[in-house]
Amino acid sequence: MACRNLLTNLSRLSLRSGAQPGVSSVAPSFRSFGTSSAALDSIRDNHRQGTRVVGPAAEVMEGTTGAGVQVPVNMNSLESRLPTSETLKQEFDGVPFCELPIVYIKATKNNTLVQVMDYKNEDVITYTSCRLEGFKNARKKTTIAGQTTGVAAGQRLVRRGVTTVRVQVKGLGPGRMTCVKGLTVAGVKVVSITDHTPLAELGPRPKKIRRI
Amino acid sequence: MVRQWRWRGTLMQPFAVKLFKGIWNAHPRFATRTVLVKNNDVDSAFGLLNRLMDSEGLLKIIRRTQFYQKPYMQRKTLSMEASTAIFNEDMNRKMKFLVRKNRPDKHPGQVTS
Repeated sequence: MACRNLLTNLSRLSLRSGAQPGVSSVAPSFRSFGTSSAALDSIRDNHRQGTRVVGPAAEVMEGTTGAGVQVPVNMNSLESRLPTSETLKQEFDGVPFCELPIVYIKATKNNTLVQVMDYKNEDVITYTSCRLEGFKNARKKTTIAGQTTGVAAGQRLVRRGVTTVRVQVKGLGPGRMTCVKGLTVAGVKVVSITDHTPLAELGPRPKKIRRI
Repeated sequence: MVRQWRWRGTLMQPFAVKLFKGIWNAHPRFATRTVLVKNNDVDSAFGLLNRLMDSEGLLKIIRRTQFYQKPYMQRKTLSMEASTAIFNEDMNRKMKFLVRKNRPDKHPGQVTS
C-alpha cells in the first residue's frame, strides 16, 4: 500500500510539473484518472488489520526514560558508576555496601509496592503501597502515587534512623523512577539502583494480546 | 534427545547457552544491572540504567514477552529485523561514501583543508 501511495504521489508530481502555467487554474489535486481503487487493495492486508501488534502490546513502557536516543544520557565516567567486586566492601556512611538495608520496589502496571528489609533479608523495616497511602483503584497507577509512596516510605525510614539504602527495582511501571525519587526527597541517601525485572525468556506462556 | 519445552513458537533458541526457567534470577545480586548513584542524583542513574538495559536488549525481551506472540508474528518480526539490518548496512555505507568517511584522506590532492 505504501508503495502505491508513493506511486500516486509521484504521478501527481509529474502531472503538476507538466501542467502549463496558463492552465494552472485547474485545481492542482485534480486528476482525470485514478489508480486508488479499493479493488487494488490486498485482501490479505485488509484481513490482517486487527492482528497487527498495535495498542497495548506496542505501547510505550513507563519508567524507561533514557532508553531511546531522544533523551541525552551522561555516559561520562561510566566505569566508576558501575559496581565492582570492591564495591561490596566499600563503606557508605560507615556501613559496608553488603550490609546496607535493601529497598525492594515492585513497580507493576497498576500499583507500586515498597518493602524495606535489612541486609539479611530477615526483618521487615517498613512496608507501604499506593493503597496504603490512600490511592484507590486507577489512581494507584499514576506516577504521583508512586512518588507519594516513595516519600512516605522514606519518611518512615528516616524516623527509624535508616538513612542510607540500596534500591532494587522490579518491573516497568509508573512508580519505577518516581518512587526512588520520592525516597531521596524524604532525605534517604540512595547508594545504588538495581534492576531485577523478570526476563521471562522461557517459562509460562504469556497472556494473549489484548484486544480493545 | 530431550525435547526442549518452549513457548516461543516454532523458532528455536538462537543462543549458545540454553535458557532455563529463572535464568534472570540466577545471577549474583547487586553485581549485574546495577548502577551506583552519585550525590543522590537518581535521575541520571536511572537514565544510565535504562540506556544500558536498552542497549543490551533487556527492554526488548520485556516488551516481547509481555504478550504471547503467535509464530507468524515471530517470523514476521524476524524477517523485518533481517531486512532492516541489510538496509541499514547499505545505507551506512552510502552515507559514509557521501560524507567522504570511507577513505583515509577526505579530500585527496587538496592543499588546504
